[in-house]
Amino acid sequence: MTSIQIDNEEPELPGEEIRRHRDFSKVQSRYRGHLLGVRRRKPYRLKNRFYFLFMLLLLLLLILLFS
Amino acid sequence: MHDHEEEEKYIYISQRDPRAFEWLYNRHHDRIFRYVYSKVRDTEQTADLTSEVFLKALMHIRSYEPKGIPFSAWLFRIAVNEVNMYFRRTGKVKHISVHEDLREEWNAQWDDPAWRRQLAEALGRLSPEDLQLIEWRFFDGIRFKEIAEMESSTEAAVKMKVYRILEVLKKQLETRDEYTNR
Repeated sequence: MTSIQIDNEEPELPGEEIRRHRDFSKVQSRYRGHLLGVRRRKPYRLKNRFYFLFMLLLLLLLILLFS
Repeated sequence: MHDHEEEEKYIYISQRDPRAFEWLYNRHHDRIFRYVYSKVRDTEQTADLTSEVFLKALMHIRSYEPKGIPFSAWLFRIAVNEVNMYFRRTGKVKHISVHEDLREEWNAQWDDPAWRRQLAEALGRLSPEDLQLIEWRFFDGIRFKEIAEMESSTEAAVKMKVYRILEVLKKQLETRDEYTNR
């Protein structure tokens, strides 16, 4: 259940105060951080996949060798 | 060039070059900031959530299709999701203000804090989807046409749904009044 409070009047926020927070560089730096995170994660996942395939092949080889 | 044509141009460029998104950011920032602030009532938290809204928009701008809902409605939908997630995560009290449309629609004791508390409780019991519709129309003052765009529905269907929920709310409060007056 959402806790709600109903106010009779809308809070006033001066336009100056809103404009003070209008800063696209903040969004841009977060976006760069997001892109870096994605780029960093990809090779790791790829490496994991190769490692898994390599182990699977090794296991199959061992089974073939001892059967 | 018309405003919406210019906006479409910047959307098209932003989908290929994120730097062009700054134009869209400057155009819509203040409206989104005001909306978030009306719920959160904390300037720093609002600034943070507003940044998050635009970050999400930038991350997903490639999936936006100008032929679908208007860009402002698409952005607003992201803002609504962010605000709702914030309240779910923090469990803080959500502030809503009575819009003049609701005062005209519903002649009630708006100046009585106890009555407003009862209404807040009744609103809190609504399903998140129904609460969202009532909030948009009667507390944020968003027109039916814009709600329909955000909901990818028709104006008539939204109107019918909103008035049905409002009737349920009124009935709930009337029964409560009768019960307390006994």
